Amino acid sequence: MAMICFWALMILYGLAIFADFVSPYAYDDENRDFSYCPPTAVEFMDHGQWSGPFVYGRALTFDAVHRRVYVVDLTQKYPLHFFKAGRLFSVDAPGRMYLWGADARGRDIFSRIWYGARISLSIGLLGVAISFVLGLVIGGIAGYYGGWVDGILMRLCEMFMMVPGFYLMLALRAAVPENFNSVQVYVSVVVILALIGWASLARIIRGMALSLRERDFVLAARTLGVSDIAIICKHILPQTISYSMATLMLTVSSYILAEAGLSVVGLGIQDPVPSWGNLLSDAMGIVPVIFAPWILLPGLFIFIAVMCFNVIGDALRDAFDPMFRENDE
Amino acid sequence: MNNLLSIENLTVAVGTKTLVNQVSFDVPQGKIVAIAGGSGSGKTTIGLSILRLLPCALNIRQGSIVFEGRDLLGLPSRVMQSCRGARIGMVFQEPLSAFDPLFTVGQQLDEVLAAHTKLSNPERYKKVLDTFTEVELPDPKRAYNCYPHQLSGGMRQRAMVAMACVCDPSLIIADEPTSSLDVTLQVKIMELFARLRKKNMSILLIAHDLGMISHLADEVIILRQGEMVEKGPVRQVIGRPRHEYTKELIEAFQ
Amino acid sequence: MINHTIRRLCSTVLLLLAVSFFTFWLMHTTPGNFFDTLRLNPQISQSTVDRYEKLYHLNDPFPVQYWHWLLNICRGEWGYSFYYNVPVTHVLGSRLFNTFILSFTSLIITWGVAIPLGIWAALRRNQWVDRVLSIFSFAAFSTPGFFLAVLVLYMASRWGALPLGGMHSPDYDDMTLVGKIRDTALHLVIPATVLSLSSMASLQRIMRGNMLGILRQQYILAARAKGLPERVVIYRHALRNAFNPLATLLGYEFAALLSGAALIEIVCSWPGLGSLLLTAVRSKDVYLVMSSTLLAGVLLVIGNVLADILLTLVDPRIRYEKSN
Repeated sequence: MAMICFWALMILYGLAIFADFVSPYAYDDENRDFSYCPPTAVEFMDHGQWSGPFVYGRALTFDAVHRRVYVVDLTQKYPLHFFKAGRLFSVDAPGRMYLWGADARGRDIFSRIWYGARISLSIGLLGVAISFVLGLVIGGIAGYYGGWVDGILMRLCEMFMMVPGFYLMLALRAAVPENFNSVQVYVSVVVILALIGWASLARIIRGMALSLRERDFVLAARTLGVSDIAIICKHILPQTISYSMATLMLTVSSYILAEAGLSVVGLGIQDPVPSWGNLLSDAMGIVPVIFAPWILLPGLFIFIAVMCFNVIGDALRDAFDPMFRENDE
Repeated sequence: MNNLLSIENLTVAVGTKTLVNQVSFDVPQGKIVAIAGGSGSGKTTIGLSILRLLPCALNIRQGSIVFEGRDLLGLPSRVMQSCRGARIGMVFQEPLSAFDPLFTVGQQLDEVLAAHTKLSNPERYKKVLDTFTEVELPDPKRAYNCYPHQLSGGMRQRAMVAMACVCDPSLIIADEPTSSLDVTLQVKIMELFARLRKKNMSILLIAHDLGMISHLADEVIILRQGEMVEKGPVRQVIGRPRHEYTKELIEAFQ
Repeated sequence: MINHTIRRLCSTVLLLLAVSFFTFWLMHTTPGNFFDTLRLNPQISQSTVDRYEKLYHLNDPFPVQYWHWLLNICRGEWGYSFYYNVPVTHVLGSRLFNTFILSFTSLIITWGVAIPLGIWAALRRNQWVDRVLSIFSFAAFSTPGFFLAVLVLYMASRWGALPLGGMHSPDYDDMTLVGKIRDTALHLVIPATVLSLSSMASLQRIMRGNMLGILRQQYILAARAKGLPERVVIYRHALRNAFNPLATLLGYEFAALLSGAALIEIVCSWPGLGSLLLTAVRSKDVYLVMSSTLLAGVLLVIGNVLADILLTLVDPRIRYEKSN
């Protein structure tokens, strides 16, 4: 089961990296004539005759209660082009191809999901990387030295764990200046995520370091005169890595959720740069969802990514922590 | 002489592996019978089989266990349940882990009485205190209200023996009852078992310490890898061992 | 036990101070003197601005400002909300209560459902019940809370029986007391359910794990060997032991609850502390942000302390640690 999730994630990341190639449109390519256009089916038979993949044109009309209706125009055919202008598939203007529908501004949701994947998936990884380094360093030092060093560092951890995650995130976000450009916002979000999660990682590492410290091979290294830092780096930390991996996977999933949460209320990555979270901010009002349910698709992807990380993390934990192992006795 | 317990051709296996193979022996009334062997010999499995408390993966493939005239293996589970604790008691190796840490020792004895007898609250209380006195637990009233972790090791073991005896069963299965105790306490527990035998209780003693067995038991059965290697009166088996393995065991405990 | 509790209280107070300092410093690093913009705001009288400038010693160095802010907090003067145009305390009070209702209801639902489900899954291990619950749990805590909220709201809009957000109907003030309670309860259904779903999932798995671990213990075998009915073995012995470690979790649950509640509040338009904080952050309402964050920290601490006390009450090993 974990292997399926692993490959699913690899596919998602692959598609994210190659978003430029896979998406028919750039993420900010708008066309207000096609606002909330439903998904356009790719057709193969034109009036009963085989005709290569293409898309019919659509015309916008309004029905009796002023709702949008997109009427399929059978006279306008836009054949799909493959590998044109560096994109896997596309259609010529003025035709538009919306595999998964369009958002309020007529932007292709299919494309935006892959561009958004870049942001959402990478933020999780980067945030965890920073948290992990912080957690390793602080947890490792606290666990190894013990005593008052441990005491102070652990109080520091508790301080960070004391404020509920979302509140801490908002408070930190409030400190970020308004005029940051998108790159700076991205970096700030990464840093904020890292700051809310490092504390629990550090505690776990510290616990492991504390127990490892008493083991014989550490004593042996000490008597041989190996310096403390070398001991921490070469002996204690590698042992903690296997169990940490499980926790890391679970942390990535919580960071992806956290970024989505932040973006959906407009405090994370800003429009027009897409992230799965801010793609969903359209959907937060009930009304658009009722008429254009396809705008909920990014949520499905968040779910898939998070679920995969959770399953992998759980599987890793089962493998490494004897407490969780369930024997069939 | 009545045999309280008669086991015949008991075979227990898990999957394709046989843990106990065609073991037969009797436990007469008022005698201490020991099952000896190294680890993996299947002795604990036999003890659990008698109570029908084997883990799900293990099955009793063959054999009969006749206790007080009835084949236990054929009994409906309700009847078996009423037999456990009331007619057959069990003493475990590690007393701290055999008690629920969240209830007092007294409460845990009381619930056995409540499950098997119709005694009233004060009657049960008195019976528990009497049982504590019988196993020579000092200050029974205080012990009643203690949690397991508050008692010392020796007192806990006595409490566990008390828990097994509280309904006056005719058979006690003792699984390595002294392995976790130090030598002085071991002697005391052995004396306790000897006193129980005088009260006409039978004890099935599962152990690997032949030294203790030679002092305490009347008969002994030697097991190796689930097979019965030798059996007979203690003086005979230990004094004049016939099988190689028995000799090895004896030497290990000289 | 009393000593232990007192020590814990002291360290948590210190921690709270540290949190407040950190929050204050954070607000301070926001560029621009916040009060300059205020002076330009015609809605706020000059005297109010002056009053607060003096109260908070805004022209003094940073540590002095912090000290005065802290003193004011203790005196009940929590600052002024410039977005709402009232002192912070006026806004915080009712919002806090609303968040509390939501969190508390959710807590009850979560624990009320997850514990029995966890037990059930443990007792029917690897059978279809267990597997279904397992998949469901994973799915539930992998779904973003706000997404689930939208989905549920969508379904509710189709169904039409439940109100779609907010806390009160328009005619709330005209209702009788019973009517008011019923109205609030109806509005509570969707947010509380969504909030409960994800914590329910992890709690159920934990309970299941605990149960399975306990069922392997020697004293469960001993209880069966004593001839106790299976019902007694499970519900009297196994359950109590499996449940105890969860008391520590209660503290963390509280944290996750407050955190998760914030986002759900926003999506469901439930007027609580979380949505308040969001508005405050968006409008850079400094004192409101600081106060909300501090308050959240305080709630968390109280929750943790209560959980600790609960644990010592429930586990005799901890209670009688020193008395032997």
